[in-house]
Amino acid sequence: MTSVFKHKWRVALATVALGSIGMSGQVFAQTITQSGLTISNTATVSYSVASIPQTPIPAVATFKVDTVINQSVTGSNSYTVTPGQANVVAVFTVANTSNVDSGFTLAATNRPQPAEDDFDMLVPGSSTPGYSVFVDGNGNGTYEAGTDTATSIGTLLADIATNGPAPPSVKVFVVADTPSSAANAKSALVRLTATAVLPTTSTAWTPTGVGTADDPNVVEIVVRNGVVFAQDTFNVASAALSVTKTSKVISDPFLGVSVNAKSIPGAVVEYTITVSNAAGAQTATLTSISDPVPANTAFTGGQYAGATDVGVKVGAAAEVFCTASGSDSDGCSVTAGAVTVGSPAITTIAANTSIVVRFRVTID
Amino acid sequence: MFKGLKFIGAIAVIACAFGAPAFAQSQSACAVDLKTTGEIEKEVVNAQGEKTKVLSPADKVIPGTEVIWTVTATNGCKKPADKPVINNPVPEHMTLVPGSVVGAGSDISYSVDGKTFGAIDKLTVTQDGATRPARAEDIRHIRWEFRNSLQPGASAFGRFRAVLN
Repeated sequence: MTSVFKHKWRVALATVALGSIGMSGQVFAQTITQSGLTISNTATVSYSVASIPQTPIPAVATFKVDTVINQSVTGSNSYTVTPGQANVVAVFTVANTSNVDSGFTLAATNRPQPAEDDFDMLVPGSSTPGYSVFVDGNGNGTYEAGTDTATSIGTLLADIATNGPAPPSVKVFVVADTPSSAANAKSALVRLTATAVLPTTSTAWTPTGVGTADDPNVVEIVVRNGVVFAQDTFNVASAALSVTKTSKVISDPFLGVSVNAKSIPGAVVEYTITVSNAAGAQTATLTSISDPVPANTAFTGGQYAGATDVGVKVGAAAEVFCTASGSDSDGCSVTAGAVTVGSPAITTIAANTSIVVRFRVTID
Repeated sequence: MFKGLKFIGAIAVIACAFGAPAFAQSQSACAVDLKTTGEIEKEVVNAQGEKTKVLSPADKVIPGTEVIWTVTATNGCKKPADKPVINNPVPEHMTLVPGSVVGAGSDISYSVDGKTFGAIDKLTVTQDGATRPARAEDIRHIRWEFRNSLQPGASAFGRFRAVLN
């Protein structure tokens, strides 16, 4: 701020109104003053000489408001994904808090493992680590493929009062596929970096007049926050199911029910199917557990208490028994040579619990 | 209102006001000289390695920059200037920093409308039909009323800080 900013004026006119500058149009929103505006400070001294009032003397100093480049990127959202889930979307908000219109280029990147996260998300429809980035073109806050196609922000208006009380902003969608290898409870970080650019050339703003005093007549550029990032998190939520199956001979035609019964024709064999969900996993919804009756055997009902056909034990609850008739609603049936257990006998399987199903067959 | 006025050079002196009827002009062809300066405070490390603050010409002025405005009246006449009063509206798009107004030997008063002057805590603002105490951003005028006459060759100054909105 040199020359004019320090000028003193002595004027030769008396028709100087006192104290009428800067009276109206003051806006005290959180917006900032527009780049390039001329700020004028006018002081006036009045006095008398020998009891005679003299012409008030004004003095003016002016400067032009310099350009400041500032922006914010807001993220810190978490999203739950399942392994193999395609086109998952993370939402960021980019706001222009500059006192000038600005464009923004955008880049979404994975973060390094194992320092920051567990795995990389993939560019949609590919096996390449990375992301697609799209700007919310119609401003509805929801990603719409084919509608939100721009990959950079052309112009966000300046954060000045005439553009509304809040900094002009737009949502940015970062889209990716979840690798099918992503394991339960693992996470992937995505970083969206926005770079403020000149709307006309899409090149980054460059500071001007660095290291020199202000020129009050020139709008210089101060780049306060030209490159800003924020991160979102994709958390994998998956069940970790395992299934085991064992068999045991209950009885044979010679020994009857005996621990020594052999698997000979006419013997009764019990199959036990155990479905487990690992500790720390998500609760899984089980549609059904189905097991084909093995060849050369015949499903044998009425083996359990109350002439029931299938035993079902869910977690720590007491075992319940159901009938294999498909006409009732207990969830157990035998059709087309397969034993099927579904709702209501089984519905979900929580983490760190098992469902045990057992039934019996007779060897042909 | 300053359109058409011409100033010459950095220290333009157009001597002698010719008076409007309301202001009878004395016979002597001289006037008090008024100068206004905008600066910022910079932190520097002095020879002893201590951090101190000095006034320097403003670096870039962007929203949030605090500008220190100094207005200096110097009596270039051969007669004392009596009852000198400096009025300074807070520049548009700037907000007065509370407690920043100084002026040795003067009584300082403020105004929100340029008509009623007084201490800040005595001023009120009517907003949405209700009256509330004035806040710093409501203050639009500062007035220094110097208690003593300004002797020939002497200077008086007032200073305030304002932040660019």
